[in-house]
Amino acid sequence: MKALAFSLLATVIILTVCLFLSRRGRRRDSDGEVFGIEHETAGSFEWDPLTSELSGRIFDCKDSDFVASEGSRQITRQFRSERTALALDWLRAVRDQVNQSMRAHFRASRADDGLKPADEIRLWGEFLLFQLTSGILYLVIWVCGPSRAAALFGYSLGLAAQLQTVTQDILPAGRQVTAELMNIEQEPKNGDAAG
Amino acid sequence: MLSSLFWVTGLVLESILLVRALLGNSLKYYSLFYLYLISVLLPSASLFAIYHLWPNFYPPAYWFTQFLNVLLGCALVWEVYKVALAQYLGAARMARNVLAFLFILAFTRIFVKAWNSPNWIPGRTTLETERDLRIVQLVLLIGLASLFASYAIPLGRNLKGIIYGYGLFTATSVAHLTLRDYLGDSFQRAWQYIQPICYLVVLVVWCLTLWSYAPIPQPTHQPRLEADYESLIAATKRKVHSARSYVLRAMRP
Repeated sequence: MKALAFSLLATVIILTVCLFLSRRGRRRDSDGEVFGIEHETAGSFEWDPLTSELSGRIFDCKDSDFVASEGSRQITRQFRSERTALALDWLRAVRDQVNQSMRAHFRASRADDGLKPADEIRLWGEFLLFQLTSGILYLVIWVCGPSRAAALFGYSLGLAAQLQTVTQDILPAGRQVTAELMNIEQEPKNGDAAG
Repeated sequence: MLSSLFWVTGLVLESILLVRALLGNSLKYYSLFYLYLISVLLPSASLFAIYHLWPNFYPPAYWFTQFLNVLLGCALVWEVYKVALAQYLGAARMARNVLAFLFILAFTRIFVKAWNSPNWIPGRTTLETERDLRIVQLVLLIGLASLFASYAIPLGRNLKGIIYGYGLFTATSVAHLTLRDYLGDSFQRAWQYIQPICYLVVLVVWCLTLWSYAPIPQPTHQPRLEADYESLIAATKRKVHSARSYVLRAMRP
């Protein structure tokens, strides 16, 4: 049984790598043309206030509540499913931009003799963290819908805040264990940052 | 009868590959690959004779040639690294570090096993030892392939063929040696047909991709760093970080 699992694993790994390579190969064929676009996208990566406000609106429960109070059950359901699709598209778009940015980085740094492997690995760490976060969010949005996902996120933030308070009370050194999520809570909400 | 047919077909395909390389003058581009192929062809032909004339000498002769092949297989992986990353100094530096890490990791495991083994060989049997060495090769090859994919390194038809073919061969070898070790002779009877077929598939892949020399394509626009590497990596890190914050901020109720 163990042997079978081992051999299956080897086969799956090699097939995945082959598939990955061939996909990359196809993408690389249009290397020259694509790079110009990617470089431009990577350069203009800032999130403008309007986009921020609109993206915040996708997760806001106000619209959903309004439709629920005014429309029929079927319309509410339809609205929710469309909102979910929109939220997933939005998340995919953000992920695409980050992926493009990473590709642009790799293409620019691959020939540079000054490349520092430790820094590259740290960047990989950041990238994997982003992929993990967005992957989990994608799953939560897909299962619960954007408004409930946001509510769940808010609940987890509250829980994290409580946990931080408890930690600080018990251990003064616990102050150092500050989750990044907590920092985000201190930052201005979407659209508010526009000013 | 059937296994002899596979054996002879393999010898013919290997010879064709070498003749094509001689005619196309591609020996100089992939010298270690062709050295590996010669190291497979000549012992295979000798083993074919030994198998039919002196069957008793076949097992020790087989294992000796297998270890030679494993060592030359490592040289082949080295050649893939050298040829593919010749013009990409940054990616080559990254590959050196990642491969060194994987190599140390894999060999530490083997040495620990050797330390605990009474025969001072990594595995309990020669079969297990070969499997361990093949796993090292497979890990290095996967690491290298992942780096090529991440840094979008153009490989060209020849190099892709070498990687696909050797990757398939190594993966099937690992699977075979593992199953053979666990399931014993009953599995060997089935595998004596499956393995040669897999190897023939590998040879066909090599014949198709290495029929003629195909230079590695150069990217039409080689991106230049406008600032230094430090600024570039700082900017990319900032972008990834800001994207994550942006996503979380948008979701904040």
